[in-house]
Amino acid sequence: MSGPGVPRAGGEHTGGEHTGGEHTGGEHAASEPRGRVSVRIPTILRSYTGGAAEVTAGHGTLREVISELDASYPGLAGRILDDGGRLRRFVNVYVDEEDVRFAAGLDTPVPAGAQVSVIPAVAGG
Amino acid sequence: MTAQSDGTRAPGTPRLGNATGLSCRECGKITDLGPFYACDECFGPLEVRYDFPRLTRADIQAGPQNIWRYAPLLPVPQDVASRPTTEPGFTKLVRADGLAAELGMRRLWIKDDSGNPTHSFKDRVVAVALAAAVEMGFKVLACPSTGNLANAVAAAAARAGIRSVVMVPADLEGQKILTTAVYGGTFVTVDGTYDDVNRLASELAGEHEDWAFVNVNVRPYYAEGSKTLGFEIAEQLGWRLPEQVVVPIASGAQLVKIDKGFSELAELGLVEDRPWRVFGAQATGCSPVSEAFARGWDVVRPVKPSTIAKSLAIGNPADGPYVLDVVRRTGGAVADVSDPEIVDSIALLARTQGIFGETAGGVTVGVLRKLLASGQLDPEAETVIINSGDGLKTLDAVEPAVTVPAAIKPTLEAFQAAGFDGAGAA
Repeated sequence: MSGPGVPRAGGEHTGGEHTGGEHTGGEHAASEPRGRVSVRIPTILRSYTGGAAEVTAGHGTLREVISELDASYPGLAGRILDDGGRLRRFVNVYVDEEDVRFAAGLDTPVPAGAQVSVIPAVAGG
Repeated sequence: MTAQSDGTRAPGTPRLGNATGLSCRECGKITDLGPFYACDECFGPLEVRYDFPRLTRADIQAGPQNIWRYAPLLPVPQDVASRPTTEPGFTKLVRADGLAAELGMRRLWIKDDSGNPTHSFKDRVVAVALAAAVEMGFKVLACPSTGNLANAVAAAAARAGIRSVVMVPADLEGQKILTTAVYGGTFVTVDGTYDDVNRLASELAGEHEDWAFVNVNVRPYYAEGSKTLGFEIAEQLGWRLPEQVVVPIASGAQLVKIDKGFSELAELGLVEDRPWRVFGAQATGCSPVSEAFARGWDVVRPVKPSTIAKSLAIGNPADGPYVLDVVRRTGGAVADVSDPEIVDSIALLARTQGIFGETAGGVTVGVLRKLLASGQLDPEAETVIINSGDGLKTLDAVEPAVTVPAAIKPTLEAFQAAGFDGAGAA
């Protein structure tokens, strides 16, 4: 394997014009309105979502998804992003299987039907 | 993590010896002792705080010949030595005159942690994690692993009589697969890298509140186990700190905790507080910390690993930033060596010292050699290197480099004809 930038299936979805059904995580999309994405919330942040382990938002860039989540669950963005609006050092965010640090960071496209996971990075070894 | 209300935890504060709480290594927020690992303010890693008692060398020396002699300095119930654990630690500190002569060093020691119950340093951290986890009411011992941890968790859980759930990348060395499966716990091989397995474990930890993933949701306690490497090195040197130490880096926790162990001994007055320098070793095929050190970064850019040193193949090392802090604070360095250099260094260690290290040991010896050549390590300074695991678990790595001669007939003539009589024989 080489470094970041391994081509991945899903690049054609960046326009966001597709319906959710054919994407990874389609079983989530099937129960959601068209154009939604599902976001898995770690235990540490569930106090913001009323205990919900999974919530939804509209598709777009990761930055837009987080911004919408913050509108629905005030304070959530401040836990994921630092004061400068960057991803916190000890948070990992995945869009489907891809660590966004290997993709376009907060500009990573989150197509309809995608699964976003927010996971504390303090693990392993 | 919010306070638990599922009834599976022991009521009240867990009894973890002289540990008093947890603090965030990033923002400093203090949390009660409990099954917490990430700061609920900033996601930063949590670290155990203590109120240490007055402790003497004699107190420690009166303890058992394993890591529990340091129980007052660990987050464990203080009767831990009487519980069923694998009793790791107090491995040999080998005076390495052969390797020192080869490398032109004055005084070199090898802390040979292949002598642990499952043949790697992981028995130390798992024993501490198990003791803390049971005290906190967890029912299952689990982990994502590159292999050595899998062995240690499966064995420790078997000894303690509790269930284990161990998850590894499917492409691990065959020896590490077999030496995990034999213990009979739940064993999951995953089609992905270690970082993929780690992610899965982090998600599972959020769903199974009575599962202790040793290096995820009880990681603050687990990581403290590596301090015992530092304690033992100092005690075995005659209650003295080495001038230089070279440590392999996977997550980086081992390096950070050896440094912390030295610091605590100095603070407690158990050793003279003299400066020491900490050096880190990575494989070039997974060298995010070495890259960050070379470039002067204080954060680590994750990589996708590709190296024979699978036990060090963590592309997104959790303690990477803290390794950089320790190495820079003490005047050390981080360097990396290629796969061929790793194999050559395994052979060098075996040939000069009679120690068969795993690939991580080859990485450490390779970096020792490299930093001596570059002048960053002082050949006159007393140096300790860590051999963290056993070469028997990574046989595939050395197979191409080892010559096994053809069989001969059992006769004197055949022996002589093959040239085995002479000094120049292989």
